[in-house]
Amino acid sequence: MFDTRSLAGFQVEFLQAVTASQPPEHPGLRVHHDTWFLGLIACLEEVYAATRTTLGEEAFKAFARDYIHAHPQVHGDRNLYGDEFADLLTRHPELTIDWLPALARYEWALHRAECADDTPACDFEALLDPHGRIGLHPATQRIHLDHDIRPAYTAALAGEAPSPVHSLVCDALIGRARDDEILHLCLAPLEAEFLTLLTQERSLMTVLDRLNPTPDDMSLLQTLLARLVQNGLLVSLSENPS
Amino acid sequence: MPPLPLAAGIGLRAPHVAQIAEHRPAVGFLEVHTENYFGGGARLKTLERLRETYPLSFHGVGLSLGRADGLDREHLRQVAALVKRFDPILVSEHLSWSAYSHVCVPDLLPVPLTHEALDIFAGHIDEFQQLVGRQVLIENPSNYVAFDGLDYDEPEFLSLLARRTGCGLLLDLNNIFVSAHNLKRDPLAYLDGIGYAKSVQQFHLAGHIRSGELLLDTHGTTVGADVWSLYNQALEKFGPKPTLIEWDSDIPPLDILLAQAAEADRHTRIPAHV
Repeated sequence: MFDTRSLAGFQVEFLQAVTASQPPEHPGLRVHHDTWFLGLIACLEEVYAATRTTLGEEAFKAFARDYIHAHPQVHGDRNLYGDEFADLLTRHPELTIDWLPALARYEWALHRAECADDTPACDFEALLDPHGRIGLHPATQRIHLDHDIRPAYTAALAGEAPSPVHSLVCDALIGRARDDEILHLCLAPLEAEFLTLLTQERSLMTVLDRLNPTPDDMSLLQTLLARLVQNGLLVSLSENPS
Repeated sequence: MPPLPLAAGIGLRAPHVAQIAEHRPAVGFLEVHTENYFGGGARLKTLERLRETYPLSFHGVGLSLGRADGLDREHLRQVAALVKRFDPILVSEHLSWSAYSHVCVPDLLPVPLTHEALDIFAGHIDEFQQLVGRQVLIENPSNYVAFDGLDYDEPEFLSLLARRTGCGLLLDLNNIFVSAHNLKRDPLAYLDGIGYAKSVQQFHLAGHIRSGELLLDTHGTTVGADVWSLYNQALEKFGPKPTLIEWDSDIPPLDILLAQAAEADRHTRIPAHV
């Protein structure tokens, strides 16, 4: 059935048989095909529990099947599988719920916030370093939302029908605080612009010079920075922070 | 390193974590899938608290030791970091592969047991033990596909690996039973074929189901009578070793797992303790 003289050649052939769109006829190969397919479905179900509840079991499986065939698993770490599921939903011609991609995007951000690396967060000193570079902590996800998705998320997990989901354009931060609590921050336009500039290899002083905030705006940004640093949502990207 | 617990352990699975953390039931050790603790967050802090009560065993399911194109060094680095942080009593992986080039599958795929495969496995096990700084135990997989033109049978291959690399062996009695049925072999001959008995350092026990002509290693039922019987044979041949009750699908109430662990202890005549 397989040429076993070269391990590399065998592994290419075997993977093709296991991950083919049609299940193999050989009963043993079919076991591996099913394990592969059901294993990835289980990954997606775990991350996208609210999306699955909203869609229903069968519809979710149909979208998941499309995703699995378009996006092979490329990391041995299963926590990294499923990152582009919201994009697939956005492009999918059969999706009729316009806010569902936002719900999926939100769930991926929650998932990453829960399990991303415990990289040390930056302190105020690093933030004030004129040569320092600041980034979002790996457990802090910035997402663009076009719907107010949290009530739908909560309702789906409680097994309730979602109330109407309203349009809402905002950038949000989903992050894991130092005590492991998951935080949700909806950013005002100024805060979003400030954070964009700050994480684009600019120091805090350069960003403030550029934005030239009013005293009220400055107060808003100070409050944001305090929340971000106290909760450990930022990291220093400088190799040798002073 | 403290002596290895001979009382049976159980696999730590998400639905049981809170209950175990609160009630601390008496089991020999807890085994976790190493990859489930990649990254960070609350899971790792919970595991740190459990480690205060239980010895831990780290069981890898995703490194793909049998891949022909070299180990994923980042994956290996994460395993090493976890082993350093938690200092588990046992570290194990599989005689299988699950990735080649840029494609991974959440499965333990079979390796044709050839001279080339032996060299590749031995090289990867050396790399693992050097980087992680610990002996790794290699577990026999469940087999569903027979190959032609092999140079070794599985017990011989495992024994050679152990002699060549100093790795230990983790014998999964359910996998031996399932594979023997599916490939029409004799499970007792498998045990006799392990020529390097002192390399055997851990046992796994789990349930299987029948599907048509095949037995499937589902880890979703209680351990079958035939597997308990094989366990007795293994105890006689290799002596008592840390034994794990594995249960990964249709996960039952914790009490059922604990009862299975107590059953394993009855076979070894060892009172459960922590």
